[in-house]
Amino acid sequence: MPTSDFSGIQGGSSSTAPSTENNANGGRTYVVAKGDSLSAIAQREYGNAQEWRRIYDANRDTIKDPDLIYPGQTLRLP
Amino acid sequence: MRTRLVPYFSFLVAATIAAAACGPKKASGAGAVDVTAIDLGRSVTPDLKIDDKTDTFRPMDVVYISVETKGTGPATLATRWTNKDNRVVNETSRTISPPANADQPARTEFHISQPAGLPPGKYHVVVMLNGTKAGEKDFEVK
Repeated sequence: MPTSDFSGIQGGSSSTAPSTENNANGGRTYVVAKGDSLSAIAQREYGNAQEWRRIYDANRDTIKDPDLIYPGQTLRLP
Repeated sequence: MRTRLVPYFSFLVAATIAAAACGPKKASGAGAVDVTAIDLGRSVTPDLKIDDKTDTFRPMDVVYISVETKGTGPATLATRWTNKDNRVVNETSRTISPPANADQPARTEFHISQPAGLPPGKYHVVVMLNGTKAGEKDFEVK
């Protein structure tokens, strides 16, 4: 039975474009788009493709092989 | 001399007309990001179009708003959801970077839900592009 309690409302977003969601806690996430690579994301987000390892290190729990990321996969951006 | 200039002049006129005809198409694909459509509904397709537009929802629904944009990024889209008392119940933003070679509009969806159900009442959602209001929608949960 719904109440007038709004405290449990959850929000989110996704995009067909390469993008990052800005969370309420200040962290940023990135949803992998078709054709992305870690170095391409690093170039876009940090202006330096060589920074890909930062993203890899922050997501080692979900990325087993840095050459294999998947469209729709959500990555934390350090 | 005059006879040699006529074909050149004709070509120039034709080229000018052709360039003018192509102008808006080029601008829409290569300029800054613009919001071109905003829709509300209960679900989205894989390409993030709303597939059942409505402004009336049930408490257990997920309320989706799909924002269509054209142009190249980066740009920040944000949504601010308020209830009938103008209390903010959710705010989410997303920075998008549509590539310059994109041949389709980009779509970005934002959604809210509540496991215990959204409280019945009227709601309002404002969509902002780079901090400026780009559109708004009203909906009701019954």
